[in-house]
Amino acid sequence: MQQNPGAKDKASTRQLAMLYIITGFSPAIRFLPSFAAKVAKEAGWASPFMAVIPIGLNIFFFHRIFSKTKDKSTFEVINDILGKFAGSFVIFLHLIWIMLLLAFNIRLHGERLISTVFPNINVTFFIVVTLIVTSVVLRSGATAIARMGEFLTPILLLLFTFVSVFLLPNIRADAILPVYFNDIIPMFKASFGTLYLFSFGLLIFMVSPQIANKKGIGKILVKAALVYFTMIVVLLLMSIGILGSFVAAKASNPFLIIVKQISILDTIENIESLVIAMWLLSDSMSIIILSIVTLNIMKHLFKLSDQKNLINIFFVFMYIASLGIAQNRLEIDVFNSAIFIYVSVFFGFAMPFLLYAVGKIRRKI
Amino acid sequence: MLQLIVIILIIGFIDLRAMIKNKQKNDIVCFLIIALGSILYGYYYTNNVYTASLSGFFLRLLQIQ
Repeated sequence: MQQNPGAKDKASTRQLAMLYIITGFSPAIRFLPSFAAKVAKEAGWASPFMAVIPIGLNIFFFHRIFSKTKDKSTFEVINDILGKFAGSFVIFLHLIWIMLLLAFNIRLHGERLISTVFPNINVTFFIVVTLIVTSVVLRSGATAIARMGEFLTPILLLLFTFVSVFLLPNIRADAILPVYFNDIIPMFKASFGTLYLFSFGLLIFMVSPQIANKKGIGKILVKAALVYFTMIVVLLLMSIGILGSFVAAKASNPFLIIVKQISILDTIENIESLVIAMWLLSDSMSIIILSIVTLNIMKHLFKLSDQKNLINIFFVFMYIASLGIAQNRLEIDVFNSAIFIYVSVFFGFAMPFLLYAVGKIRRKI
Repeated sequence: MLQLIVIILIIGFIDLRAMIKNKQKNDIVCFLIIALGSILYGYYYTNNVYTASLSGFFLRLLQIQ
């Protein structure tokens, strides 16, 4: 089969849509149930519906910005729309945000393992192992990583569906109802959790310097968003519906707690190892994706000839950053829910709107 | 701290050699900046383990408990 010579180091929009899902998969399981239950109580399961319009608009902006840009990279598109100086400034702000996000993800990956499975092991061990694996994977390039995401995402969704089949019958109606009109404001506040999970859209377009098949980008993103949205609603229904909003709000890993209750025909139990496998896969992929985006941004901003030269030293820096990002898990959780999700929602939703608005005014799109 | 500097020197020896050979100036400058940043931040973190926390800094700044 003759390979398209221009296809080297190009990811397709379908692969990027898969990466869109997998990047938010781990924070969805880790953070969203307790956040939604804490803010909106029993109405937390319905909070994603308040986020539908912003998500739809975001996909529309991506479609309008990227569908007609053909062979231009995402950075070239941003510079075209905003101008060279403003575009570089915006990309630099994204670099800061993504490095913070990466440090959080690396630290939370280690913290979650020591708080659930390996309580007697130092978090630095898991951080070092994760960074070594990531540095090895990054050398294979964006196309290989995109293909890995294309392969892993259906597996993760299948595992999630398998677990959901056994959990959905245990949902109690009194734990998720009633939802009154005075729940609207708490639901709106809780919807920021869902918006946070969908805020990685623009990052995904920075994974690969070139993207193939940009014309159908809108349709593919809508399908991916629908799948992801359904997963989020089911996750919230299960977590709040089974545990109740009070327990779900206080628990550090509500999804793991409810999975521990699964018993198949009174013989097969303790399938929480499936959830841990899902965590490890999705955490690793999101760390890899954020790392490659960071290195791509650095390559563009600082005119590097090859970002692979910086992989080792970059991960030394990220090791220290992940340790210094917070003292403990509590501090991370408070910072995340009080500040960082709103910062991420700004970058994820306000920036694409800004690009669209400026692009329209300057007649670039 | 000493282990960090040794690791950076080893990485520098491996990666910088290739960059100097290929005369990749921007890459070398970027590498040195990241290495220096790592050493400085590592030194600050090592000496302030219980207070050096970016999240804690922002939470105190915004007076969030």
